[in-house]
Amino acid sequence: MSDEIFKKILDNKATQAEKFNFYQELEQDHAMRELFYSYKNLHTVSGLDVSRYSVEQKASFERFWSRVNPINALRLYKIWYRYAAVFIIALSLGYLMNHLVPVSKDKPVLFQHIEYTSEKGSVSTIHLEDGSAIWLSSASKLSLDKQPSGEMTARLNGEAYFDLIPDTSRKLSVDLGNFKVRDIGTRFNIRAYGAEPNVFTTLVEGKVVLFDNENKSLLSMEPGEYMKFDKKTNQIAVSQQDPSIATAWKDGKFVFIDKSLAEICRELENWYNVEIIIGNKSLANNKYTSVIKRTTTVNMVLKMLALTDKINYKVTDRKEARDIVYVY
Amino acid sequence: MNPVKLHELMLSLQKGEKPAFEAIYNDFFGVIYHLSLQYLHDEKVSEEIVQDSFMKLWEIRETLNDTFNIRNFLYTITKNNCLNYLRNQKIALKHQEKIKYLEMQFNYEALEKLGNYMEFEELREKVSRAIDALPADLRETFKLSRFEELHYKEIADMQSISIKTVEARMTKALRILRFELKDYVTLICLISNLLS
Repeated sequence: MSDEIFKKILDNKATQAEKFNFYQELEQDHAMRELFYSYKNLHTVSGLDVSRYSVEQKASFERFWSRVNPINALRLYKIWYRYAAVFIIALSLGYLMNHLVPVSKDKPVLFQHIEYTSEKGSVSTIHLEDGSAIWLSSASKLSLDKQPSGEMTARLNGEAYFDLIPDTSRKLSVDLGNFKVRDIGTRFNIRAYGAEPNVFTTLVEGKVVLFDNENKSLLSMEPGEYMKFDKKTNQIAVSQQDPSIATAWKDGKFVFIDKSLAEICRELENWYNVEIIIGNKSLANNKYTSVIKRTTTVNMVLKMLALTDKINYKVTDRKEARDIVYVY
Repeated sequence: MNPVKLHELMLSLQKGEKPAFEAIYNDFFGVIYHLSLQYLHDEKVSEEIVQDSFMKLWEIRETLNDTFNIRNFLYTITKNNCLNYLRNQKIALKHQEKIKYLEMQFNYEALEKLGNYMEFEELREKVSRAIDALPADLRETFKLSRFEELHYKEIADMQSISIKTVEARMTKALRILRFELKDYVTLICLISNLLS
């Protein structure tokens, strides 16, 4: 193992591929692991007094203070505005509840409005207070709004898997612009990338009902059903499909069944943060079927595709922007 | 800190007074934020962890007395918070993001080995004593290289010396550190790697 890599790892400047190789080697090599532990700790300790950080310390303290002491901050008003103060405190509490309720990734989330983002190449999980969980796929955004009535609305640009504990008191619907999906204690997957022409909903377990924007029920789905909504024509089509295909991303796999090269490339772009250009347009509609682990490198995926068909590809590294893959 | 001042500070903390908490926050923020960031690699989460640690101090403020070791308390809470975070996150990531999972796994194990507060302080002191004991010119060059991540050329320009002199100083500094920290030979391997 080169010293260069060690330095990059400790400075957290290694690329994903370098990290992958490095950590795999650590997994194998006990002595290397021990060395890593002492390097890591010494690196930490020796940087203690000199490290610079971007967090604004004063602002951080004020945030801490308003968390532990929300009412004290308002006592100033008491003398002059005794009556008004009651009102202000009530309002402020509402405000604090909205904006300052601590959100830690370890703890169940209590929220009014929260936005989550999952970067390209990563999957995040969101834990709700009742034990339900939401998986957010690569390059996806999800916002959750909770009305005082307890009703929750999720808005999604991207792909998410909902694993919701059955609870008749919870009302959660996913607003997809053209229609809403309302959960009734269930597991389902929604794929709704803004840039894509279709929205897909797959029901794994339980029951969901689709409503239009006037709250008229459109249809209810059964487990194993797969719904495709065409944004242009507003057409809904329901078919049967093994739900594990739509949710494979959650388990770290790409599953392509009879998918066009164009669709596959879009998926690869989202996951690997590369730009893929299909030079030869006649290739774009070629269909492929494959199951690939998401930890595979983009080069390997392209190699696999090239094995089954007459595809060539070239990768151009770019420092200032994401790498370009040219397929021809 | 002299006993009278310490006593006053503890009383103020007990009463939950803002200036006292702000002083403590400013004193310890750097160390525990750095600690979290090194193992979690996430600025937002690290700041959150720092806040949680101070919340714990807030919760127990009424039990504080003059013999209470705030450094020890914050170090231990922060370390545990980080370990908990890594443990929870890595379970969630196990099947989804192998690289991040492994990174958290190994950082978790490294952090576990960082030891308790006494061991941490001891190591910290040894390292900083060894660096401080270097002759002034060597120390300056060494710090620029190790902590400011400057290249030899930049250091040479900054200190108005030749690159050859920078190299000579680094070699000399390393020879001294190697001797001073011979129990921590790995550190020296590391530092020489960083400089080569």
